[in-house]
Amino acid sequence: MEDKKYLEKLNIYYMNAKSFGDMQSLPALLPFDDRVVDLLSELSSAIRKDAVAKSMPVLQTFAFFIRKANLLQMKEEHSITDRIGKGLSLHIAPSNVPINFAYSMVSSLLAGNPCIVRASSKDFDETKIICRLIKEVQESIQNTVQDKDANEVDFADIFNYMAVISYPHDKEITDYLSSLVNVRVIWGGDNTIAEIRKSPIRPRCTEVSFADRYSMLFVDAGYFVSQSDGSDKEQSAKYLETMAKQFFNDTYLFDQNACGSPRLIYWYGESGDIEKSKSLFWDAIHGYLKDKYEVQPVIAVDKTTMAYKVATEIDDSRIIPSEDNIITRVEIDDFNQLPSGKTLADFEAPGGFFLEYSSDSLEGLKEIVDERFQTMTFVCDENKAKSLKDYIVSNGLKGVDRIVPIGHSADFGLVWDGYDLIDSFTRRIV
Amino acid sequence: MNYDEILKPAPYELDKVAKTEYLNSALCELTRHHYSSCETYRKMLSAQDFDPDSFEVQVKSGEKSYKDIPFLPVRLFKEYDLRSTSEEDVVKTMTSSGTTGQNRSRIYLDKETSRNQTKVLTSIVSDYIGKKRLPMIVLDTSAVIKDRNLFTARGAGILGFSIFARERFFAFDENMNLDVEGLKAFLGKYEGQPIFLFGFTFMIWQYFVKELEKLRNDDKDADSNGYILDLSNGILIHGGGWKKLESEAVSSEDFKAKLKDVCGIEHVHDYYGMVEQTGTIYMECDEGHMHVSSYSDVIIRRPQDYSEADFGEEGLVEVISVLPYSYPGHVLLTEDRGMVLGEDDCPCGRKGKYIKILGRVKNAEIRGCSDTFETRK
Repeated sequence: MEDKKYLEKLNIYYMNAKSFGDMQSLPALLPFDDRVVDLLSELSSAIRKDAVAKSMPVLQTFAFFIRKANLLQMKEEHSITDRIGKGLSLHIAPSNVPINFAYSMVSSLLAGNPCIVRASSKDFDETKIICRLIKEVQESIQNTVQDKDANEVDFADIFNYMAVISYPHDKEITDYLSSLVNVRVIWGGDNTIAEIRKSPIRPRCTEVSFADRYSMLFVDAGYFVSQSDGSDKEQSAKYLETMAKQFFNDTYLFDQNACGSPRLIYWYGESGDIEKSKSLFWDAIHGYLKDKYEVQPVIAVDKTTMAYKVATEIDDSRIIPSEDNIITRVEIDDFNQLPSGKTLADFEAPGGFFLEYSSDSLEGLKEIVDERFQTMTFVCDENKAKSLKDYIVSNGLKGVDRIVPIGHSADFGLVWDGYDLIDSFTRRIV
Repeated sequence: MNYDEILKPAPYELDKVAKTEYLNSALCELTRHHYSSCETYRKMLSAQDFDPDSFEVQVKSGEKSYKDIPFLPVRLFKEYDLRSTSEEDVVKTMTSSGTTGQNRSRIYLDKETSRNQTKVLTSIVSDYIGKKRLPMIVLDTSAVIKDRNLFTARGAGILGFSIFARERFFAFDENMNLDVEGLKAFLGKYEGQPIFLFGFTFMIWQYFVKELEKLRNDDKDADSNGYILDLSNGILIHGGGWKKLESEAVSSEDFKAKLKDVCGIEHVHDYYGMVEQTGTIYMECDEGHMHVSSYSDVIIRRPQDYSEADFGEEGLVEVISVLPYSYPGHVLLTEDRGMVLGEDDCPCGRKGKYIKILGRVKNAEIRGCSDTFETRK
């Protein structure tokens, strides 16, 4: 079996099937197959009960995502008539986000496909814990099968649909795995996509790739001031603290290096409100971060360097003085000052570097939004949020795939990065 | 700028008070010069509302000092052509010897800046090896300076230090094979006289120390001291950093001990310097301290907020030099870690700060979706 020589080179976290060849022969399933839903909801409760996993918020968020009620609701929301999984899928997970592999696998399982997942070779605890819990669920099922009525647990087969492996960069292995699959999913950005694409896929294979993206935060200053500078001081303070926490979740939690992490703040409104908002907002953020986020020396230098690059290349920009290196801010007056051939994405540095733009209109969006724009987090009321979407649609802008409240940039959904994953991972028979 | 005046002090004669006054005046003037002569530099300062004229007023009133002049990360010299002189006046362009694939710094020198670099280098080095020209052994290959159009740090270092040479001899052929016979002849010619040796730390370790050790073990006619080459009259100056030797766990002490062991050399001086501030190098005295000369300064910055670190506290190394006139490199933030050990009180008698360099900052470890975050492009 050709598999053999590859299997030896792999680190296998979880694999129940005997070979990738066997996985290739597994039948595709209907989307949201009951057995898949049952297995995932079992896994969900296992994660929620596990002593170690309990203390890990990212695992709990994942468990919440795959709880039965949510799976059934997602099933409800998707038009899955006539759809069936495409077949074996290969997932190349990013190297720096430990939990991502699990979301990618779940999306494809829900679509009805067996999954080979290449997890990060960094050997994250999250990977090990989830795979351990899959095994535990599997063992408890086997015991149940021996003890009782097998019909109760007919999802035992589904364990064959999952393989979680890792291997250091090795084109030969990627070539082989790619030659087997009907769906290939690549996370990790532009360079990883280019690297993996050196391995050909089958003619009918669907590839879904997650490129480097650019994200922004939109703040309606009038709204923000009304919430954070009201007569009820206590409530205002509470609001600011919530904002800081939400902003942290979008940015510093992932070193501001997640695709949905805002790098630009678009301040919208009257200049008086904007000035007030900025000062309240950044004070709150700084207060929240001060004891929480340590700036690595090289990151401090990176951010200073980038601030100078903006100052050099974008006329009339202002580097905002700060008492420390946690937050680096540069204000830009006019997007038309961007040098030709460059976009805002040429002026980003992870670890807390923010460009700021202020305007009393949405017109600035037209000048900057390109296909790299992914997430627009917002601080505004519902109507304004809706008008953002309307603006993007009516102007035919090529970017912004998600408009979500501040703090939710990383919330995973089956529509991600502009793709409906269930659609992409299935075919339709008419 | 009146450089005749500025370069008047001896390299290690200014104490803290005199030095502050000296740097305040020279650096305010330099900052004003670069602000008016280099558009890019002006943009960088303007973006943070820094105005050299009002700054100078604040310095004169004692409210501010040269330490408050914004520092430019050295990496910017890889991104932009930073020049404060007209293109025609550039007589030399120095490049850093960056690893393949990386951008190199480009440093533009006019006649005066270049001349001042030589002057300062001479007065600093003379303080250690004396004013007389000496027979010089370059512990490198002549191949590295053959292409005069390409002034890499390595070539520039050799050429720069060659001003101290009466006669120069390259110790290695183009394949870095040690020319033992040639060296013996050279040493024979200058028997009993001080010999000046220069080279790069890692090269010396890899191709000189290891080779001499090997030859000795092979029992190749060592003298009664066990030396293949007797360099007990030698004074070695070396630089270039310890990164590669650290990976072999070779300390500065090991390095010196081994050199003494294989060739009897007693005086070994490490130096710290960079192509962005050629001339104002930091030389190690016999106490093992690297000394800041009159014409420059080192400020250690805390990465968290760039405040000045205490003596003995590790941080990012900011280097200041009065020499850069044709390019705005007078106040720079490096990516090196270091600490100030003390000031004005080194037992060797030299005034000024003395420092320790601890190597490069670590690469970032960062979370996030994109796999390919890289610093230092």
